[in-house]
Amino acid sequence: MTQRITSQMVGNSTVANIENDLTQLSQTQEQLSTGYQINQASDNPYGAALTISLNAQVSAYSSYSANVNQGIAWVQTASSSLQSIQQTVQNIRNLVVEGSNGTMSPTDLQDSAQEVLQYISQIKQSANAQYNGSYIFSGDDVTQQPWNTTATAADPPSEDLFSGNQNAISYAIGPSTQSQVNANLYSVFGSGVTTGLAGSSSYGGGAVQSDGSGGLLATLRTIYNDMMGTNGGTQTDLGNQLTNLDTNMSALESVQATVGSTQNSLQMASTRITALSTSAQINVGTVQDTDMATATVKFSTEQAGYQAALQSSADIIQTSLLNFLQG
Amino acid sequence: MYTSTFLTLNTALSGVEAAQEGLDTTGQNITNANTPGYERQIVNLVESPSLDLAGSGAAGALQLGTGVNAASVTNAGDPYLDAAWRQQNGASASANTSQGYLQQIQTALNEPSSSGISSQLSTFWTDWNDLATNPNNAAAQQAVVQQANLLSQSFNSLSSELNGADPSVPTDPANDPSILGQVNSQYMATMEGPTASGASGGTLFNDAYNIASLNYSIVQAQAAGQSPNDLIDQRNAALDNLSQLGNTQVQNNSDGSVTVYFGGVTGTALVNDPVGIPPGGPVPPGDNFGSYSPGGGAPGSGWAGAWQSQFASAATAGTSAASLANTVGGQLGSLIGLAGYSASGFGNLGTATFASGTTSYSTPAPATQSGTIGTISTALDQVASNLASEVNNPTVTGSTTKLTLNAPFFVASSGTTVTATTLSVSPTLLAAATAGITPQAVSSSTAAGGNTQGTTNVQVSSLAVSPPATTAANASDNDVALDEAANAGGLADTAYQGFVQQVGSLAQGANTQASTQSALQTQITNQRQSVEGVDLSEEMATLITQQQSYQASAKVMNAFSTIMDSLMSVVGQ
Repeated sequence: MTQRITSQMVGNSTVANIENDLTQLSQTQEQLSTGYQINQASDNPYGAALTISLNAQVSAYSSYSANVNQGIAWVQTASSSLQSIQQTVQNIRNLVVEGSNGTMSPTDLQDSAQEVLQYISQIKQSANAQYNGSYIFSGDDVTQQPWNTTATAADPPSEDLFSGNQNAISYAIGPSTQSQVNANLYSVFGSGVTTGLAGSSSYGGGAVQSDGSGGLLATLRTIYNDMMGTNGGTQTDLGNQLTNLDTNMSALESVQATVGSTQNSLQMASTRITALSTSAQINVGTVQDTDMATATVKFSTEQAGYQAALQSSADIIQTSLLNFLQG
Repeated sequence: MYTSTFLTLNTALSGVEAAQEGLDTTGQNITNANTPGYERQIVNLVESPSLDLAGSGAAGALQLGTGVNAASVTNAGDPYLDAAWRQQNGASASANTSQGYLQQIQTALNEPSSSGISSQLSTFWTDWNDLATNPNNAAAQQAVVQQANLLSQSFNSLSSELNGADPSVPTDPANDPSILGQVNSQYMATMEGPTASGASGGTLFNDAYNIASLNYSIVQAQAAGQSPNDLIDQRNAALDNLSQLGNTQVQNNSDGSVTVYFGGVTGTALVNDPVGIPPGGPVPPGDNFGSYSPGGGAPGSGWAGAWQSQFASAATAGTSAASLANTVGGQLGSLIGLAGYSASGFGNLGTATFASGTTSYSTPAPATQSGTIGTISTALDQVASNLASEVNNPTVTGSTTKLTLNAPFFVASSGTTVTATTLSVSPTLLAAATAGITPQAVSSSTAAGGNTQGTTNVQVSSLAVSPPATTAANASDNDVALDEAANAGGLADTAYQGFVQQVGSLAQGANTQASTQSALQTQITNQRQSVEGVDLSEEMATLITQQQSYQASAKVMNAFSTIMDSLMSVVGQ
């Protein structure tokens, strides 16, 4: 016996098929209108989790990128203030060379000494450089001004005391990668320490000791004393300070070099992060975005199918024997 | 032997009558073509007994036909197809119910999007990073705390959308908008008994009551020798409705009634009464679903009692919620699969009490076999607890050492366990953030004391870390913020991604299941329709046949009448 086909069967199948077509069509339409092929987690559970993870990566890279930019700005500030310090120390060195060849009268030397005092103040001002409200040479205690800028003839020079610390400030520039952005200027300047200063013509030797003595600031104070002839300083001693000053300057140059290489590495990190971020964004796109060409073609095909289903259903449902039994 | 002169007239009359019956039935079929439960009717024609002439019983005896007789009108029903259809109907209803709720859960999740928890987590880590690069910036300090607050609120609200405002009182109407609340409400509405004798109750009670009343009428009609096709159709429709709620097994009895086993409960039938219920009458005491009616029985008796016992024995056997859901089938099955069950009953509703016309659930009991919603909630709780432990104990970058904040950043708003419901930012911290945070140095002397790595950078001294960092502490130190920012992509993030994938897979599975079941449903419906349904073209053809048969029989009568007229006119002269 052949299967009977009733009008309700035709109706049921037609409705079910048309509903399927319409579901497909609306899904493709959603993909086209949102531009995403994953609109709900159920569209592709693994893809949804991957999208979230890749989006988190993109967001992390943009954080790293912001950090690197801020780090570069910080380092540039440091670099320019170090340059001006270097310039000033060079000026002092010229004064010392002039004073140590014995042609200057004591009065002229005292004038030079006053000039040195001003330079000391100027150097400390440069060292107090700020970036975005933070003292860049104050260790991680960035709200603390590292050096008092006054420079007077007063001795012992408690006004040269270092108020910051030597801690590193690091920025995250990649997954578990940090870069130190601040430079340790204390290792060049030292702290104004009175120990052994009086009467010692060659105090410090240009290298900062564990108690903070012996740094650039100590050398400059000794130079002042030698020029003034105070605290046991003598003009003949001035020549010895040239060596110390050169040691201080080379230490300063090495800090400058460190800052330069930090800037270099930050700039390289910036390039790398941009590349990584771009590729992460491309990955998000690959996973999440609709392939418009495919989706559009699919949409047209489905639409044609849907219309054909509607048309043929309308024809078949209308027809029954009743249509031909008139009269 | 002589035959009656009017035999021909009678034979023709039987033809007219049979054709009339056929026309009536065809009319009935056509008008009910779209009536739910209607099975097409067929007129069974038989020849009338013939008259034996001249030597009755002997070979070659002359037999004279006496016309046609419409012996009966029967339904074109097929009980096996009915049973198959009902099973499929239950499976479809179950798949659709699960799909609906999982879709809701997925919508609540709102992933992947730029407003879901995933992007809030990203923002949270970005805020820590901003704090690490600007440790003295009051706005950066506030942003961390505010974003943490927002994040914990998102966890709280997602959890409440899943489980309701107060999961400890599952029947609280305030829980209704939540997904578990809706599941509970649907279960309670389905299982509700009548509020008064003879009144209607929940869907299950109404279907069972309907079937029992129709049983009564059918038994009465059959005893009187009628064939109550219309009543049987109505009962089939009621059975079809019932099959949506759960697995329905129908046993046909010789007196015309049916015994119905329902919802995986074996041994105790849902409808099993020798005489049924008179229409509108009360459910007689001792009836199997009488325990629903006022004073009609204590819990533990009848089908309702057996239903409760099924939970208890399944719990003893350690049956999973999904497996019990399969046994029960239909909508009720899928509700069990979603909400889980315990020995005392459905989900976390606890023991059902049938008293004074209403069903109440007085003792909430946590679902010991957790359902899909419970599994999803547990996964979400894990994400929240990962987040809290990651932030409260950040790992020092480049080592495996974990710091401990002196006072936790995230705390449980009630109890001690951090879950998605209880996750909240430390109130002290929040108060400080609201009041406005100002940078404030921590003196080095307290650093020596060992707890002033004051560097949650939000300047709440209680949030210092231990063990103390080796470096001196001060307000601008960004070490802790850096370590916190490094949590991005860590345990909380990966757990949340896993959670989204889990929910997505469940919803995807439910979608596939629903569309498969819907295709099967269409197929079995068509099969059933093919046997039981009305084909209008076929009915049209029958209509013409019957019409012509009617006309032809009438023509015979007409011919006979003409003959008689001629005879009479000859005799009369």
